[in-house]
Amino acid sequence: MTYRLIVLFSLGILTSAWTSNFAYAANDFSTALQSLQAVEPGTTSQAEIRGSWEVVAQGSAAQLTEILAAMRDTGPLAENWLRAAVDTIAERELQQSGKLPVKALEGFVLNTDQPPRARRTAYEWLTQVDTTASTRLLPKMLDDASLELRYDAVARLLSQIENASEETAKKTIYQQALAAARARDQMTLCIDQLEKLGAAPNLEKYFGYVTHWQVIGPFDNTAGVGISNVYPPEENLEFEKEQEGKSGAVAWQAYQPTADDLDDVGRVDLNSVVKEEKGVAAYAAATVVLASDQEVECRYETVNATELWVNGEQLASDDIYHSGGEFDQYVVPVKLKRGENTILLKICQNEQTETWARPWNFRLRITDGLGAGVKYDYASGE
Amino acid sequence: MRFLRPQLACLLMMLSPGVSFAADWPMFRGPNGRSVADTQTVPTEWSVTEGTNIAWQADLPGRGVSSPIVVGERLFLTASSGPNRNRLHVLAFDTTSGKKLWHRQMWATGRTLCHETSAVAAPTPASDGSRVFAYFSSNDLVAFDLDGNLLWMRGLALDFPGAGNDIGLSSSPVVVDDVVVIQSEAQGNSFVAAIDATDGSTRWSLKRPEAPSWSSPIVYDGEQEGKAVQNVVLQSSGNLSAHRLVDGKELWSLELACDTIPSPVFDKILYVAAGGLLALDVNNKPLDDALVWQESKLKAGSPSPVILGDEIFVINSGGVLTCGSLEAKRVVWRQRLGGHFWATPVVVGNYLYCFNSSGKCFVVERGEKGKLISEMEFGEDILASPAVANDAMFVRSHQHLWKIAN
Repeated sequence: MTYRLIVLFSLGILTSAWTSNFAYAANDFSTALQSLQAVEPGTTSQAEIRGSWEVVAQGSAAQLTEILAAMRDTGPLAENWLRAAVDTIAERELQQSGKLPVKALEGFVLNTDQPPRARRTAYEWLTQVDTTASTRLLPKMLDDASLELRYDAVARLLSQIENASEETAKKTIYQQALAAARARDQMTLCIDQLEKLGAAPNLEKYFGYVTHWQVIGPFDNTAGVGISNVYPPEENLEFEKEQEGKSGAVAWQAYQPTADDLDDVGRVDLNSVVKEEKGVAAYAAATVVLASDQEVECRYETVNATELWVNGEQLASDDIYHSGGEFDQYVVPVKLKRGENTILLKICQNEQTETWARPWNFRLRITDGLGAGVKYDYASGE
Repeated sequence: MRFLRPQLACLLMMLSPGVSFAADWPMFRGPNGRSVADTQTVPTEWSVTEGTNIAWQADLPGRGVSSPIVVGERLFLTASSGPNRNRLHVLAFDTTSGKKLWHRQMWATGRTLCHETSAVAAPTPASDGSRVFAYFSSNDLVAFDLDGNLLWMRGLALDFPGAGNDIGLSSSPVVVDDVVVIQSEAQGNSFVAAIDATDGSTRWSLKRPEAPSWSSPIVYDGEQEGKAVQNVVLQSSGNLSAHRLVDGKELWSLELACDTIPSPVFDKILYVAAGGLLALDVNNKPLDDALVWQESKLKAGSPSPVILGDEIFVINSGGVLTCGSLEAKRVVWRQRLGGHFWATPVVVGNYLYCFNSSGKCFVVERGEKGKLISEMEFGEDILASPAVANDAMFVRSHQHLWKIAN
């Protein structure tokens, strides 16, 4: 009996020690993981980040999904640190055992509550050890919140065109892919092919381009003052009232761009609508009507300097001229309310005289958080 | 041309090259940023299609116009991919076998728009012999040891909001004395930053002119009050300046209409592309009297000038290669190559290797006349400058990496 007590007592001490060590190590890992999650530029020293990362990167394969889950609501820098830890652990595990926890990884990939980039990371490691995973999982991902997973799913769908001999079947595939696509190259491919098949979509509606504008200008932008000068439209949108422009009175005019090709749908060419001039600024205003409150994105492209207001609140200012212009160049998150919402854009043209500095234009679309055009109407009378 | 007074009353600088790794190619344009490997030998002919003198070819996971760099028997390279160009890659290859040694990925934290011919992987990485520093057009900077172990990473667009260029950035970093110098100049937030190579912290940073520049900083040895100092030269569209590497303090500044793509070269004299070639003896002469040669016929296009001894080579925007004599201060010969060039040519042995953006390489023999020896096609766009190490030349396109060797 005494012997048993001694053994049990000893075991108790050992267990306690082991448990406390494990608890200490687990606390270290958890603390380090939380530190990595919280990494923001300027708030944590590089030495502290590195220290936390080293602890997390020593984790086991069993902790991969915990690290991936930590990507929720983190900043972009933290995401990269966490991903680097995942990659380090997974690579080490593969080198040592040749295995990864495939069931846990697949479960993580399929759990759409998890952060999109974390799920993508899990998918990339899963597909390294399970060559059937992409075939099984991608067909379910055409509407995935992870743009990278969705991209692969759409690519896989498009690859089935090879097996479609009938035009109807091809049309169906392209239409399905277009509905799912959010990447410019995939959208372009589908639109081009559907046009050839006589089933071109309505690009304005598909992309969500705003095409009912009121435009006024020119105002003065000599020496670039236009971006910081406050002209009347910024203070009050009075569409019936003339304003004092750069060289006299200017008035609002309704404008609806009519181009329906991919490169120019929705584009407002201010050189035509206002007039071609250097050192000027113009405003474009639109009132869109939503059926319910919605978090959206204003996505616009321009080679000119711009400022954006939505419902009177300034949301963006980019004093950049002729430095590239591309689809969805600027992406501004905004909350629109049920009913009428006013979008105001100031577009400034500078005084460079080179031929490539001639363009003075923009186009703007309203999308959801993944880039799909949202449905809206225009205020009556527009 | 107006000269501003130098910041310090007395400015004496000693001539010496910067850090040199004899067999390595550790940064953009190789040792000291000179694009010269005159003691090495690589083939003057090869065939990608037939494999002649192609030691190996490797697939790349994304686009890139950054040059490879070589440290010992390892080659390091960057690439970028994804529909939004926001997946960044750093890779390491064994230079002997072409085997991929490691591959690291991260997401861009800054802007990823760029010209259609370019890529987010545009700046060339740099190495100090034990670490690799990879910088991207998105203003992401990451450091690894040579085995691919992550050391630190920075999202400089987060530290400098508004920094970036929607045509793309391409200025390559330089690392000297445990300091990585990053030059990020464009409209909007424009800066130069000196990052501690050991832990990624910021040593110093300076606001820069808000105008685009794609040229890369260089570091040269100088002397100040009897002490050796490392100086960083920064070239912008309207200014050329030198700063102390240790703290960024400006040493001198010139209002100068510099070209914004080709980078400066230092070989006892500072050579700058500024509507032609300017040679400035900033070490031995007062700044007001530093101009030793100005030659409009040596106007560089996108490739940087290359200097070896008395010879200077430039390729202009018309695809014409011009050789000048620095001593005689005259043009010696011209050779029309054809095509548009982005890559800076490299001197290997007695030959100059020039790559146009369509993927054709012209091998020109140096000397009095500049004889065209051979032309080879890669069949893919080549915008990156090559690397030369251990008697081999490494060339990359958006899709592939080649080792050219006998």
